[in-house]
Amino acid sequence: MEEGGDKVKESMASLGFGLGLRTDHYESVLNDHPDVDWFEVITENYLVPGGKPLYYLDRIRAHYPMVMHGVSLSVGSTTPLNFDYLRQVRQLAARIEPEWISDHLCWTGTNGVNLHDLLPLPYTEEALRHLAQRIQQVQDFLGRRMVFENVSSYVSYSTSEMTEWQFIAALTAEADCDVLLDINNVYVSSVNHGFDPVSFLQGVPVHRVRQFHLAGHQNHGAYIVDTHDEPVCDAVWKLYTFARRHFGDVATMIERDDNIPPLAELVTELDTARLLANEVNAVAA
Amino acid sequence: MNLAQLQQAFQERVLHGSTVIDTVIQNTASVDVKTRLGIYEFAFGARLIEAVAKTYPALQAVMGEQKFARLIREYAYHKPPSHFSIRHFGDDLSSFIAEKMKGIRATGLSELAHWEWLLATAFDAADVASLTRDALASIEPDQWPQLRFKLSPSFHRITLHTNAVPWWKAVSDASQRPTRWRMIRKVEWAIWRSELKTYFRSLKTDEAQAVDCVARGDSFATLCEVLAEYGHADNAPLRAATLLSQWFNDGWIVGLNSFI
Repeated sequence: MEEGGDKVKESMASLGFGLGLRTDHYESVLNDHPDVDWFEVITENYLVPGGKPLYYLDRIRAHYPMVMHGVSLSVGSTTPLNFDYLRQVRQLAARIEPEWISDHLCWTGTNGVNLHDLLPLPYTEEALRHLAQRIQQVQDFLGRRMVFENVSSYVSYSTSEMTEWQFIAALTAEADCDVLLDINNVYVSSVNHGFDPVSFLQGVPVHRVRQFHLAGHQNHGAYIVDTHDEPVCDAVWKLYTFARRHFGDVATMIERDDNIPPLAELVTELDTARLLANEVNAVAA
Repeated sequence: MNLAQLQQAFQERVLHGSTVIDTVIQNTASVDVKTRLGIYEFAFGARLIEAVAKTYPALQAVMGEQKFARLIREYAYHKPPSHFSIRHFGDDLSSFIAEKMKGIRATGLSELAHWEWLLATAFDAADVASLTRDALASIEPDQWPQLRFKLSPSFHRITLHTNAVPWWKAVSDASQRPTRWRMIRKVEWAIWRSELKTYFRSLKTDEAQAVDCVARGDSFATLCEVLAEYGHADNAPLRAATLLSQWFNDGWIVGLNSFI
């Protein structure tokens, strides 16, 4: 299985450097065609019958590659998968032909409730088996390998039997899925739970990492809250540099969901990612 | 505690403050369990309030941020979100206000919520091309009585009994707000989207009855009967033709019945 994974990774060139597509920037993207290699779209924002969201999506897709990033799959929930939702995801994928579809290694609610949060799982054999089976169901339904993101967390469970990165490594092998490695989330959780973020990165199988996320957060001293409302901080840039050295050329994007600046400001921030990647490449050469 | 029990306990903490989950959360010297779980509890409310405020900007402005936030927290307590899209969470807010609050102001706020919900629903309704009056050119005279019309998916009707729309307009235009909530003689409204723009206009009673008749799938003959009952006994077909002409212009008509 791991050899197969390596072959898949080798056959795909990185998408380069992207941004999360936000409504505030629709007009700027269409008018200015910014120097962004691709856009990530929040899947649920476009699971609508029509109107402006799909109007802009189609027009921007004509100029840029896209990836779909979901927040409501709730793949870790013990409630049965929502196949009506998955059908709509599949229809949207047919419409915009994304490079890949991602969601989160989390649960968002149970027994008919959606808390609209990315809630952490216990890292147990039971959860591992449950997730692997659900991910395979999703992949079979969508007809493609999925990409799953590590979430920021503020609690850990006394019932956990392994680290988060051991859980991810085992899961990718068991479910044959890929990883969206959120560097900011690794950093946030490392502070909140007191682990070494580099150990996390080193524990994730290199050949499974398809995408990086970068984002800002709010530091409350004893803990950090993942808010996506600030520029990427120095500690996360440093971790990103390590990740580029360790994982190589992986599609990188910046997420900003609140306190959203003009598009040009985010493009400039993305240039920092490009610069750091170039520096890593230069040293490697 | 297995995975299903853990998730149910965690959810109960976020929704209703139950502390069963606390026993399996790891405590640390720097951040205690209550603080850690509190981050999720706070985020749940804040995220919902932010999402609902996007759909109901005028309701939030009229109520004030604090009262609006309290309303949404109470709404979430009684009607936890269930849809995969957070945008749908506020779909029952108008009924909830009507159920939980009393008085003219409550009736007005409920109607304002209903108004804003329909505007939001029209905003991302399915894209279906409108027909022009030319579509009627091929209709033979003997087919007219059975003719039925399909309305745009973005088309909505609402009947208001308060001055909710002046309140909404005042917030939208940042103009002088009404001095108080008032019950008024009912006003019939239509809300729809044409291309990417959302429109609304008030309807006279006969037009409201006529378009409701069309929305139910009734035939042109029935439409004329309805108009005859509402003041057009002598000229119902003419009034129907006038209304249809207006509806085509407004982009309400997207299809004719399938037997043509």
